[in-house]
Amino acid sequence: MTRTQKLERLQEIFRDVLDQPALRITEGFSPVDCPEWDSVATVQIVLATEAAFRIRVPTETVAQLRNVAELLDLTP
Amino acid sequence: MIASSGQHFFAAALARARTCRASGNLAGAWRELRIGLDAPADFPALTAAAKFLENTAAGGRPPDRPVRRVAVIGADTLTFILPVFRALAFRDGWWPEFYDAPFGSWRQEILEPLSNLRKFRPDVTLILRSWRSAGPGRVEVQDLAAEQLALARRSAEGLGVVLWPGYDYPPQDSNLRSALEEVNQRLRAALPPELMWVDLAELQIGLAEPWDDDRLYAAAGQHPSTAGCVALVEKWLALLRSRWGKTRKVLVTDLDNVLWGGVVGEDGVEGLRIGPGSPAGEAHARYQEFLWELKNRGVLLAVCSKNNEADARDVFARRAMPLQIADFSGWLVNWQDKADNLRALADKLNLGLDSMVFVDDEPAERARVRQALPEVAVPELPAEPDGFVAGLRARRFFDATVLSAEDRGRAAAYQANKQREESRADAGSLEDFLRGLEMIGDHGPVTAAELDRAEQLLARTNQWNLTGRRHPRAEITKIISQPGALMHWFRLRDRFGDNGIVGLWLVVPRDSGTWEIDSWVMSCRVIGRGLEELMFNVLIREMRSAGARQLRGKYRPTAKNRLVAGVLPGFGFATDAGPDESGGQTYLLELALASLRPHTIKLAGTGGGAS
Repeated sequence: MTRTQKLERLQEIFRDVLDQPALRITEGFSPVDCPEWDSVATVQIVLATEAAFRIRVPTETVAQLRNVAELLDLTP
Repeated sequence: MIASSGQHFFAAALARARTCRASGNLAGAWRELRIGLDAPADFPALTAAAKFLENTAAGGRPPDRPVRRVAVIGADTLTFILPVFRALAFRDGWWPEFYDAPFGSWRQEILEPLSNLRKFRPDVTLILRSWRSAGPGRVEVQDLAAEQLALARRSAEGLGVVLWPGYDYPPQDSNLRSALEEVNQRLRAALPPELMWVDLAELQIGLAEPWDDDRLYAAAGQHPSTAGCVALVEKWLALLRSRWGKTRKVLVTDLDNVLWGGVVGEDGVEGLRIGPGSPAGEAHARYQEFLWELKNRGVLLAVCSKNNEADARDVFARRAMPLQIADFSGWLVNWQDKADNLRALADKLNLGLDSMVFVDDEPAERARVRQALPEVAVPELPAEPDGFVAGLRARRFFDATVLSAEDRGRAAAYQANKQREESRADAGSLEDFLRGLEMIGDHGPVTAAELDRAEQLLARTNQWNLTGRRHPRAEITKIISQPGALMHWFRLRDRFGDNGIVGLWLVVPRDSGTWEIDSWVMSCRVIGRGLEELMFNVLIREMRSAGARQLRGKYRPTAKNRLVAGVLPGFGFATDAGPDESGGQTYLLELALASLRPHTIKLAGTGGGAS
């Protein structure tokens, strides 16, 4: 999977979790850009990403996910 | 992680809800989301549902849902609990307005007479604190118990229905554990009677997934785990339902592939799987034992099944099973619409539809009941029967059911007086429902590609089978190679999926201008959907274009096909001869006089109306 394809997959997850069907995300997309992105949303995003990519996200990242790029870097 | 059928079910409902919302149909959005919440609850689905609910409610709260003021307070993080609660309370038919609790001051809020919590005047106060807030240092049992009891006593007034938690237990620290066990004992013994006790330790032990999630606690201060949050909210809501008199009282169960494995009309009484000997048989026996246990706690049981009544009775008479017919207070075994049957049952038991839980393995039957009777609870169960009991237990439909003597007497009275229900007036909206199934029919002459399925359908279909003829493959080939002989397969799809080839008829030319129906079969899964009408219409059109003037048909009774005795006269066939010595009846249809029948199935490829 290319980084662009992975970004698209993550975009589906973000759209779903944040309930914004038309959302477009970039690698720099962060909680600052979106008031809906709270700590519960972060955990939802992490759980969905772990399931979709079969990975385990480290505790540090769950505690403070700064942007989309951090997740992308973790995906195979 | 493979997505379960329940996750697919929720995701599809959420997608429909979003489509409705996007087109301004808020009523549709609420309805579809509510249906999605019949899926087995899991944290990702519930938090997604809550986000949807909050975003949608920004344009106006769902009407017809009472608002109740809910304070969730305690020593632990509450941010993960609230969305789960929002979604499941919505499923239960109400709308919580949450108290925005400041972090960490829950004791003062309870104790101070003019605290913001007391000014909020909650209808419900839910308290959450765990072993994590009690430890890690040494816990003085005496002090902690006294403190908790003082708080509990002060909570008994002015805070609405208060659910007071026992402590859960740490996985390792045995000193802390035994201290908390003792605190729990003391608390429980002295708890003011106005408060409802929530046994967190019992929840913790009963959970299939871990209750503690150290990563989640380290990262977000959240305890218990996401699965623990869901189980806890289900427990809270069950206690609230029992306090508000909303606990369900009746479980209505399907028979085939629910109470036992297999289809009695097809597999025969001896072919059903129930009890030891097969994994499915074991699973269905567990389900029956679970129902028996419910019945002994005062829950009423009823059967609602599309079957020949005699067949169903036969199973109970001839197979050893945990349940007997006498265990059921309602017995609805017929070919009527199930929504009609449930209404009749509610009348008979003198209970509301909102006291019923409907268990059925057929997605279309569940969809029908949800559409016609939204008050009835219709859980989506796992596809495999070994998940039925866990799925039903997780919903806690019948928790704390306390039945009056009158209720118990009612069960006995119905058992004595149990009879088949008279057929009910049509629900009126059955046609709307069938239209909503978005059924697409397809058909064509049987070729080599369909021979296997044709042979199988003829061999296995017992109930909707006009003549009971079982032609083996070689014979089918021979018959359809005769000039003028015609065999068509019929396939039916709906929005729940593809049922595959579920119908067949075979006609052969006899005398000049006369054809005869050799065989006509239809799978019992699709009875009542209009496929028989579509098959008839196609038959008439094919016969006319073959130049036929008359069509002869015969009903040949077998042990199991009484269901179709009236099919030919129903389609306008006139009696020609019979009954013969075996009860068979021959009918004749003048094709010039035949009229096509209405139904709601679209023909594939036409895109237009019904054939």
